[in-house]
Amino acid sequence: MLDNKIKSKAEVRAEKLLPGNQNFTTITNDIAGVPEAKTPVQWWLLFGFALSLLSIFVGTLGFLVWEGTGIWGINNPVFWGWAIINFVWWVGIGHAGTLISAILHLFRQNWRNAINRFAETMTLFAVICALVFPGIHVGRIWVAYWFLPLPNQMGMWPNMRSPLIWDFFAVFTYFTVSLLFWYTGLIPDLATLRDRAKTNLKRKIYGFFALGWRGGNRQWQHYELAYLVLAGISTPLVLSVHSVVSSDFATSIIPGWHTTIFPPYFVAGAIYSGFGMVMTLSLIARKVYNLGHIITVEHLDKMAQIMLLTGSMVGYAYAMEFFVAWYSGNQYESFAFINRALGPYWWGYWVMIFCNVIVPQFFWFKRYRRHIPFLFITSILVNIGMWFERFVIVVISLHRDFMPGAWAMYNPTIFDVSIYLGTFGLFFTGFLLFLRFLPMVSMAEAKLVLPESNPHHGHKE
Amino acid sequence: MSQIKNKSKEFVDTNKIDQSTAQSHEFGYWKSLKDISSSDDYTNYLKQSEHHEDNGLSRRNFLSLVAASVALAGLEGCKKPVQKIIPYVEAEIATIPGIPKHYASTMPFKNNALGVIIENHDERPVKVEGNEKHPASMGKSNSFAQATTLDMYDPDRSRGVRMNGKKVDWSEYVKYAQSMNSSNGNRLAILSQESSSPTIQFMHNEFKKAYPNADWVVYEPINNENLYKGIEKAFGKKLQPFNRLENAQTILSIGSDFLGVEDNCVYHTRKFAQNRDLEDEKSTMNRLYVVESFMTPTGSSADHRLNVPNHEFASVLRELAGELKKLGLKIDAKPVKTSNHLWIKTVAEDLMQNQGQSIILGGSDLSADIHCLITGINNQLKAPIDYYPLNKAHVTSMKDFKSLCKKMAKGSVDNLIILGGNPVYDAPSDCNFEASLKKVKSAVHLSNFYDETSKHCQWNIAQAHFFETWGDAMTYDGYASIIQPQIRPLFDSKSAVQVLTPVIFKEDRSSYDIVKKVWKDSIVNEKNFERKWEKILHEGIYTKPLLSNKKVRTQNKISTAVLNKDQILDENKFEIIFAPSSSVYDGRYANNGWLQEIPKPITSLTWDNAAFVSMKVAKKLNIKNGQMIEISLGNTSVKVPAWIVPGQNQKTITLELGYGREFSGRIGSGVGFNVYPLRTSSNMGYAMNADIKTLNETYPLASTQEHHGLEEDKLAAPGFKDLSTNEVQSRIPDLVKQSTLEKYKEHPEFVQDIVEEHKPDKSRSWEDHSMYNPEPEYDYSKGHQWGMSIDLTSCTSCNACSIACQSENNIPVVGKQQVMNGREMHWIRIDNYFSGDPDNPEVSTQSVACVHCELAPCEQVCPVGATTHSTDGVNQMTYNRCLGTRYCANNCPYKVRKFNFYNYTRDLPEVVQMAMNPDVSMRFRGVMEKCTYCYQRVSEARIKAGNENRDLVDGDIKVACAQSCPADAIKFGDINDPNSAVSKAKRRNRDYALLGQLGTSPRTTYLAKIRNQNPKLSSNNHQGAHH
Repeated sequence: MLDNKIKSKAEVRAEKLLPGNQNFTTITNDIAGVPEAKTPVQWWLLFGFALSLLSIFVGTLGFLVWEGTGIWGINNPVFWGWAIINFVWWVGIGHAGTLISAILHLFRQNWRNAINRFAETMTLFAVICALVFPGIHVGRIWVAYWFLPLPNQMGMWPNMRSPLIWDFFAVFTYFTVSLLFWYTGLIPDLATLRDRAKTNLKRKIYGFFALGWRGGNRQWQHYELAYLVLAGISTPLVLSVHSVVSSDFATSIIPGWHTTIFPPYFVAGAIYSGFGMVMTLSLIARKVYNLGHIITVEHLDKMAQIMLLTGSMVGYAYAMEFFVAWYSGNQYESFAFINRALGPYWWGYWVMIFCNVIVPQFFWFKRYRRHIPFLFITSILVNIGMWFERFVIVVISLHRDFMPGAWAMYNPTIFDVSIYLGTFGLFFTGFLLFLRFLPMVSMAEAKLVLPESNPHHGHKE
Repeated sequence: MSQIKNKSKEFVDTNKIDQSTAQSHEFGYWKSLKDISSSDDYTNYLKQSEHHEDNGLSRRNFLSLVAASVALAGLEGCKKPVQKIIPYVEAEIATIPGIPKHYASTMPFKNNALGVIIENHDERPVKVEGNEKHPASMGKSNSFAQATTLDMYDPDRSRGVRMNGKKVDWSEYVKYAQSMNSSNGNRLAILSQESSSPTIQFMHNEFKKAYPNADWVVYEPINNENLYKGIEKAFGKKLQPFNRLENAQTILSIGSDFLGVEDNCVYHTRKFAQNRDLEDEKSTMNRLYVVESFMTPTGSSADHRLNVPNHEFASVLRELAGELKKLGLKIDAKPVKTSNHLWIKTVAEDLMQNQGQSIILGGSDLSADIHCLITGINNQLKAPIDYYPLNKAHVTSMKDFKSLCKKMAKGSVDNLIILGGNPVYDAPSDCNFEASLKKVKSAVHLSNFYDETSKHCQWNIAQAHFFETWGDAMTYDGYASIIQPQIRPLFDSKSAVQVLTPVIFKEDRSSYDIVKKVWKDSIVNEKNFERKWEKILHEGIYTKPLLSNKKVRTQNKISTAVLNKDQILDENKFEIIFAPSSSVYDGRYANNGWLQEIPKPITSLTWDNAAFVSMKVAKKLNIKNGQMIEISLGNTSVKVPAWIVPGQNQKTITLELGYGREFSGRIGSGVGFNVYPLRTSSNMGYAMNADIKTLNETYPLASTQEHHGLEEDKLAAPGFKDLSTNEVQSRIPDLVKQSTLEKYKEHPEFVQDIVEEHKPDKSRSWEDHSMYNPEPEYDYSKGHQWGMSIDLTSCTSCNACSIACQSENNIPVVGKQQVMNGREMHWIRIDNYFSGDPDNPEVSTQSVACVHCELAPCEQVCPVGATTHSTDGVNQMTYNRCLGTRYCANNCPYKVRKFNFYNYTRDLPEVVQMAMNPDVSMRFRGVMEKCTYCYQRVSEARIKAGNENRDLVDGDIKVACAQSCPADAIKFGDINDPNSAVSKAKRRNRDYALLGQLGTSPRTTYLAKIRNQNPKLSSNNHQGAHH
């Protein structure tokens, strides 16, 4: 009797993260069962919706290439509008993936195992959405490849002093490493799917991508090492990518952009929005696929804590910007910030403050951290807030800079909106395909949480 | 041959496109960018204009005919003119491709003349400059002269001769004119525009000989008739005054916008600015007092401005006369004291102090009595005004015009020849010109466009642009010059002289023969005429004046008695002022895209006119910018959108003339609102007692500047509406550095007094700590280093520089919608800031183009290195490399970079392409552009100097803006040459760098604005200029 009552530490932890007496088989069945099962109607509905958004994206893109960037609301002085806002926003969202996968992996935070695949996939598609914008926001889209340092007969070379070039490299590096990391993590699961495949075609495709994984001891050793190394490479990237993105603004001369606080503040904001998006997606998937026992309230609680932390960091940065603007005594700098809060776009600023600073404060209370509807609404508000943060930075800073003679208002057009909505089509189309064909939770890693995965399992303590 | 074929084929296509979308200026310039297929507008337009329909051609055929004729004309245009004209400078006989030729010519404007040099590329005139040898131009020009190139190549111009809408041969007209009833011309009349041409005068004389009873009537909607009448009252004869502003130290303008739209503005501005060219704090400058009812460029340049409605000018003048009498002038006047007494008294003292060097200028719309009094006072003040004989036959006479209208209405005019002008549109409404014209059996209209008047005339003859015809013109002080054709008529157009020859001589004669004959017989009475003729053609001016100034004496005692009847404005009613537009003048430039899109001085409005209302009236009547208001005068009313303008008198509403044209081609038709219906022959200048009704609708107006410094921020957070207003106010002294002459003398180095926190730490210069540029890439102390200096003291914000730049650099016109989106392309923008009392604000204007920073923020951020620095210090744009990230423009603190959001030149009709400067590449969509310091001119001068084996010297390079600037406020040259004009300007202690605290080291610097305020007034009239 006594033996039954005393549980090992591992068992207690497993109980918390994966409740309900689960074992290797149930996990495999539950997770691998999703892509193996018949496509649910809900999936088709969502996929149809995503495809229609994607077609808006393609249509707008075509019109954009045909007519020019004039179809957007950008003007003089607001030369950057929604395209850049969306770019920064999507890159920011793409941050949670690597953070969860790499940094939490290094810190051996096993609670990440239920959500890391999700987060990584989200990262990949978010970064793809982001990478669309540097290419299409330029005036002459057909020569966008000039960003690349391609040797050519004219000896033309990118200007390495330009933050846009740093940006381009930073985001591409991030994308490449994220892709590798995601794929490496997938290999054991792909092998599982291969082994369970019912048709020859499936077996061949999964088998091709599983790279001959057999699950042997040596393979696991190599795998763990490779995964660790990739995590190590990814970790500085989490900090660098958004720091570099922020330097698009921070290295410029425009009041409201020209601030040294941008790199850390952008990183915190990125993680904040990334967790917001992971939360949104996992709450939906959890509901649709009944995965409440795998993505548990415990996981959500942990994510909410991180959102509280990063949201407060962002709030601190907002306050600090004002302090520095005031402390500098620089008239132009001061006005840039006063104009944010009280100028013609004041509502945008206060939406940002509400969503990014006030709303996460509820996460001090455990009740709210575990309240699913509240979490869902918050996670969406977080991303609205973070979009507005970029709006505040990009548009409000530009629309009134140094010379009042050049001040102007900025009004987005229908095409600004449609290309933004369109990227959701791109994102969800990709994400839904992932849900359909790949295991949405890392089976191999989820099993690590189970007591059975402990080498000493079964032995008396 | 095949090339030609291809060319004409292309032509047909272009024309199809641009015809189909004519009139859709709202979306784009030559055609809509959004709505290529919609041709409804144009179809309607064709339906309306019967002359297009009646010729039995289908629309399609018509278009292809037009296309073909344009094509042929275009090819023809590449030919040299038939008669021998003499190049201005070059001696080469052969044309060297790529090397432009310059010919002198004259731009006639009403009864004045502006000498010009026209730059021809491959026998195609593309750029107008002032002629340095011409006394009215002195090498300078104005926005009308700069924009005339586009008029020349306007695809909407009339073509050939049409009789009842049918295209006929010129010989048909000749036959018609020969058969004109010649019984002494009882039933024949000519209606012409004002002219100073000796040849037209000759034709007039011949006409009178042939038809002694025929009328020759002259009408201009904007004229100086009252001025001449006033002078007649004072001196006994009509004379042409010529204000020698170079000799004037104290200038009082009473409603005269002599730096803006009044006649002879180039001369006035040049000479006015000459006395404001402050070398240092020890220099002296003239002082300008302005009495006006709405803000004009003159008022904004004033040292002291009094805001008085037009109908109270008489009382101001009466009070002034009283004061002048006290100070010793022989005037019959009584002392009066009004609330403006101190101001008027001080002005009177100043005028007396500078007697002999003081002058009063009256606006052309003042009454003859006021002009009489002003003339008398000027005479007593020994004002520097020369009076020249006036060719009365060729200035407007409203009396004659009205009696002609009556005659026409009675049906007693059978043949009317209208030589230019558009009286159906612009005649005073009480003349009923349109109805009268319909009673004329057969009317001939010589005009640039098929316009409102052409519609009612049986014969339409295309009028030649002055680039296309022989002619002559004369300045007010009698300097005559020749109009030389630069190109054969593009559209088979004719000059007034050509139209008249078959009427008078019963045969077709060339204008060349007549002009030459007139000059031989009556102007150049010298031996060796041919050589003299060639010299005149070469230099563009006949150096012997044809007129000599008259000694004048006032006939009667000067008395204010004539002004004793004051006009009374009823309560809640307004005075309406009809002001010429600085863009379209009286409507004649309505189809000129450059002029339509240029932001007007003070208001920064483009593409429309508006009713200017004061801030207080707007508040009282709840009028917002763009709100439609109904202005009624008697039974007539017009609906016009309102625009709130600082400095506007509370009793006055200003309406700009020249808008709301119905038939003006695809640019001008339907732009703005026609206010001529309110104008009658008794109130040509202003009208009393108009009713204003605020309507519940708004109209979008396109202004290029959002914040002028006084308006509230309507969208700001509740309770903080004045936040940005205060901010702009606090920035003005930093951006437009300014002081009064008095304070400048006390503190000559005031431009160095920048706000403490902006002061760069000299020990830690920005360069040393820059992460970009640890050491300069070039040694800027070597070689030629280009730089510019702009003197804010003399700049009057006249826009000549901006249009000159547009013409030189092929800057596209983008249309109203794009301007409203903030996408206008002008490389030079003119910022206007207002401060102080909204009723009488201080205006700070500043023309801003790329300042060519040595440490340019734009260059650092371009990812592909498309904007770089040249070794001679110019910030360059490589259009071919630009991929359009727009990062450079974001990072430009001056916001002077302009982006091609669309392909604005895609649909430029081929005729308009002829107006483009071949030395400057056209920009494609998606690339950035900005001021290049006219680098094509720098290169041209450098190559030329190289060919001549010499180094560049100061003055070799004239950039377009500096060349046109009538105030000579812009200097350009080598800053490494200590003796260059620009170096000298930059050494002045007023020199400062705009936003210099940013460490951008701009090459264009400004000379601070100095207002010569009268110490007696500066304390209470204006707030201190330097905060």
